[in-house]
Amino acid sequence: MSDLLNADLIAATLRMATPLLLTAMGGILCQRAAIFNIGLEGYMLIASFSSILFIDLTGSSFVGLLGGIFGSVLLSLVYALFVIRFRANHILTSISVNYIATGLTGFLLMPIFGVKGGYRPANMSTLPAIRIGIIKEGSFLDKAINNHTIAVYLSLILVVVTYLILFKMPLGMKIRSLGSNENAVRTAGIKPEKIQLIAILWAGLLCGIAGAHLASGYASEFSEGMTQGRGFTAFSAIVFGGAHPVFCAIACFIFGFADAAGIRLELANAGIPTGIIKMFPYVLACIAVALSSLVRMKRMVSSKEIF
Amino acid sequence: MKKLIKDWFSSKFKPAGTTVLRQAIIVVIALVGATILVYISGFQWDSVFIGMKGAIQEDITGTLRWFSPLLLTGLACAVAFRGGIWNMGVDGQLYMGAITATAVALKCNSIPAPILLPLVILSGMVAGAIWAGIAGLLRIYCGAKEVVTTVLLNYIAFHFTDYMVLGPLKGSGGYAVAESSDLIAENLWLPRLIPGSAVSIGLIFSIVAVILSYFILNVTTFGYENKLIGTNMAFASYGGVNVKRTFFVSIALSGAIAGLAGVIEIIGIHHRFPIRFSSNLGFDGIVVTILANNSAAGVPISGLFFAILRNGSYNIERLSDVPRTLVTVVQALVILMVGAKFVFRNSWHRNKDKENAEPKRLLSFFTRKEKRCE
Amino acid sequence: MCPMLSMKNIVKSFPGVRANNDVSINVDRQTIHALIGENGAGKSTLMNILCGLYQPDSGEIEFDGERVNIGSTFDAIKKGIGMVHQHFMLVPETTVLENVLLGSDTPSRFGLTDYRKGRNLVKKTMAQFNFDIDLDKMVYELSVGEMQRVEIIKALHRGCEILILDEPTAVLTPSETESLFSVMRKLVEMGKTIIFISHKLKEVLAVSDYITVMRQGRVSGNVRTVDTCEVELARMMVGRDVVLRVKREASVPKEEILRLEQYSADNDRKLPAVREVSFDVRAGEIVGIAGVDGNGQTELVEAITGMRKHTNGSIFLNGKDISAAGSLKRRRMGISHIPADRMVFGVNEKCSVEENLILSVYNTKHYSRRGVLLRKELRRYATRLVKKYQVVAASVETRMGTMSGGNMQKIVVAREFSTDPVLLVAAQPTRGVDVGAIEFIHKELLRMRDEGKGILLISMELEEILALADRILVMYEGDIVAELENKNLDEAEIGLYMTGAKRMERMR
Repeated sequence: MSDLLNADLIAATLRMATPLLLTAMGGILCQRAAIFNIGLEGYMLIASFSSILFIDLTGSSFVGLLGGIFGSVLLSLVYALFVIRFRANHILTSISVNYIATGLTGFLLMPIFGVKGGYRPANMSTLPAIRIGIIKEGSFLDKAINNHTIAVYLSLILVVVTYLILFKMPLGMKIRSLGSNENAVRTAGIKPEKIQLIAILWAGLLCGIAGAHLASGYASEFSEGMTQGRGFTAFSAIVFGGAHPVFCAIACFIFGFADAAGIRLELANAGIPTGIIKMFPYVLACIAVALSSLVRMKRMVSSKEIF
Repeated sequence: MKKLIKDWFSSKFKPAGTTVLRQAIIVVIALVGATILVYISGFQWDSVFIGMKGAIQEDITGTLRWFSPLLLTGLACAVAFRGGIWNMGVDGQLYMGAITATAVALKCNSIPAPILLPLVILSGMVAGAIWAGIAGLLRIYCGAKEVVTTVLLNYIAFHFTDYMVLGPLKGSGGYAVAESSDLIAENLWLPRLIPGSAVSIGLIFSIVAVILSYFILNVTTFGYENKLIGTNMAFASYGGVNVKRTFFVSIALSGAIAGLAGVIEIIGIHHRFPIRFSSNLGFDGIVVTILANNSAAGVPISGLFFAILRNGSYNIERLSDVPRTLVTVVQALVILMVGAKFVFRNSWHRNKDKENAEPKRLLSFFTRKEKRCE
Repeated sequence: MCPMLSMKNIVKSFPGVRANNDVSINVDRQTIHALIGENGAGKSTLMNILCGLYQPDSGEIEFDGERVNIGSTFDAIKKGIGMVHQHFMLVPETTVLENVLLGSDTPSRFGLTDYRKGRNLVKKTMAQFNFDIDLDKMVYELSVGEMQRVEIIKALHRGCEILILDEPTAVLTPSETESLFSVMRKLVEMGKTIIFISHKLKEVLAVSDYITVMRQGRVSGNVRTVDTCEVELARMMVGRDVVLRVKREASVPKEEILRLEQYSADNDRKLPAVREVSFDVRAGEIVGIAGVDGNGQTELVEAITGMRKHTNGSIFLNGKDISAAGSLKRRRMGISHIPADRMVFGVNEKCSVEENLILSVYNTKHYSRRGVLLRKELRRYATRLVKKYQVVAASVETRMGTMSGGNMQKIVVAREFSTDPVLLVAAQPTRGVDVGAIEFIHKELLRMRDEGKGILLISMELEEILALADRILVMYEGDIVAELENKNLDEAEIGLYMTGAKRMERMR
């Protein structure tokens, strides 16, 4: 019995960590390329909306996935335009992007679907569960990591891919150099703008998958504000992990676990009030950010007063 | 005397004049953008303006009702942003102020009203200050960026107040069903400013707060230090300014003002704590101050504009189904353009050359780059 | 014979200033061509155009008579132009190898970076030009001279034919400078062409074949090195005989103002930067600290002014131990500080002139009461200072960011000198400042000295120290290695102390 609980818990952790992983991996390249992008929340939200939109149009969850990516990438292009071309302030533009997503998705519910607050398409199709054949059915492993949607597996693969890009590919070398010394890159004959655009589009792509997963692999609908601050939690993971794919992924799993365990506690009527349980992932994220920043601060030292 | 006023006027408003013009243009562009969206969505094209007109002419009291909290949240953000502090947590600080005020009002009913009311207000402000102060301390002693921590603290505050309102402060009967606390004692309610309307004398409090803040920011040593850390912290530190203290006081003050906004919503409008009553007053405060260029003098004008917009959107939603999230789109466009520093000069030329690319000031070992090129 | 490189009628303007005003320069193949001029003359701008960072407003560039278009740094690299900038373009947190390989054609295999191939290629380049640097060392571990060599290897590895060096000797000791010069000569022998930007006339005369002089955005002279001399070059640089020395009368130092005893401090990387330094500064004298940048002067200044915590020893002001006092207290006790990094510490670009000037007095008795600023008094103060120090500004409400370097420095000087300090710490007071302002600041420093202040002057320009200081200390690797009276000094000898080749026996 307890065995079942644990496998399910792992499965739930994976599911909850997926949007965090994807968003974090997307954000890591931006952060490393000296782009302070906290508009990831907005990318995710718009992806959730557009994936539902495309499912409504076609009835196919796969098209929904593509549609989610499409919406997110479009928004990331807007961000890129303002931040790269117009040299707008990164934080303000991120805030604006989040507002655009909240505003547009809330607004368009009426003219497109004729509803308010949320929408579930009549022909809702969720992302199909993928079965990895070689795992023995009914085993612990099977219950834990099998039969997840493609987004979940993609999120794990993308951790590895992000690591490869960042540390093993020329593009990654350019991104890392950009985040350290923009002029070093510029004088090397590389246009920083091109690299930054790629990083932002990458974030758009990954957040698109995250948003689609949220809407059609997890919730089966779109509701206003459904991202619930996950974009910021993912950003906390980025900070905690020092923009390193492996450490950030660990943070995402921890946050995902907190989420999953919280739901389990709620359902088990353990006597802890819902509100307190729901607080926990954010408290955890806060502590994670504080501790990792502290460690970094101590390492840097500057006997001067500036922080 | 007349000359003194004229001199002060011209020294203050001439440079501000170009800023006002620029912000006005941004507002117009944002409204036009929203109108375009409304039109292509199949609604009546002038919905935005009808809504705004209604908010000014027929429903001015509704507008004023929103003007009061927006003044305060805008002010809270202005104080923080001016000091270079990205306080995204005004919503959370507002809630913490409100829940504390509610708790004190409900639980301390043995204290006579003339003492209890100021206590309620004060406790709310202190709660807001503490909530913001947490993020402040994390930044000062851990280097944790407040732009992230304040947002996380928001969510913590949301869930915490949910818990309180569904738990310890749960109302009885109808209020329990409505997910709200009980009504606070009537002798703690703020009297109406405009009889028969929702506008309480909280509006007066807000205006007083703006005037006080203007004074603090522009005439005191603290205000000068706040501006210094917001523009160049290294310079401030070099000059002997206690940057840690200034940072903390600024963010705490910001939180206190946000807390006050929450308190006034409780004692002036709702008279109880309904779950999640705020509907983004905090985030609106961010846009208010961004449009107002972080100046205490500009917050009232900007706040009034967004109050009109907000009230107008409620009205238009009732009349014609145009969702009120349209306002969020307007706000997004305003922030977008302010962030891009949209000015008269054509930014395309400016960015063709790389020379305006200022290298990020890194904690590296050989950056002594002169901003001006040789 | 056609010059290898020809820049014709280059015009380049920035907001408010025309950095290059119809500039033409011809560089012959396999020569060392010097480009000189004082700060703000337009030399770096011109070279930045050549290496693709800027686009000229008008004008042409020709290679061997053929017109070329350098639209980006990529184009420049492809055309064989390499530049070692004044401020290094390196990534500190990675290895030397990664820094050299960074570029558009990093070798790769199946999409992944091929470090092995890259390493072999770089090793080949290094062997070709007789360089040797550990490729796996992290850049932040390197010395300044080594970093510069990495920059040169970078340029050579990218296949440059023309190598531009922008003020390369600013960060080198005299012996490192010599080895740089021999590297330059060798590269020319091997077929490269070198453009060498400097404002140090002696060096330029020592190593170059041709000299182009720039002044205020124009070319004011083109000579063969053998045909000219220092005085003529100086005249072309500033249009009049440069007074290289201000009138300095002998000082009569009085009581002790500052005393350091075994004072130590660490740098940002927690390594010792100031090692048990002891010296004093007396009223009515200027003590100059000479030394190459990076030998602990910055940390010493920060420790004295309270911006950096010291790790050992004590500091006395007017006999009182102030080791525990913070920067504000030290200011109040009479220490003023002209910071070396003007743009970061000295000036707040986003604020007005007035707001910059009042930093040192805004919370003193006369200008504020119980936390409230006395605006009229402060306005009066600021206006008075602007007038006294001849600052060029439309009004005290003008934003600092629009002003020139020299003007900004005048504001810094005005602010720091006007609080009636007892000790003035002036770090690089004339860096990036035009000649007129330099003279002004030097005169002001001497005036302060004659009024009985104690002045600690830190400068990388040995000439400035020799011109102003009464007593000279030389700092090397955190130690004071020499203390000399400024009388009939031999620059070469000071150079020896600066490189650590020689060391005085210390009494204390």
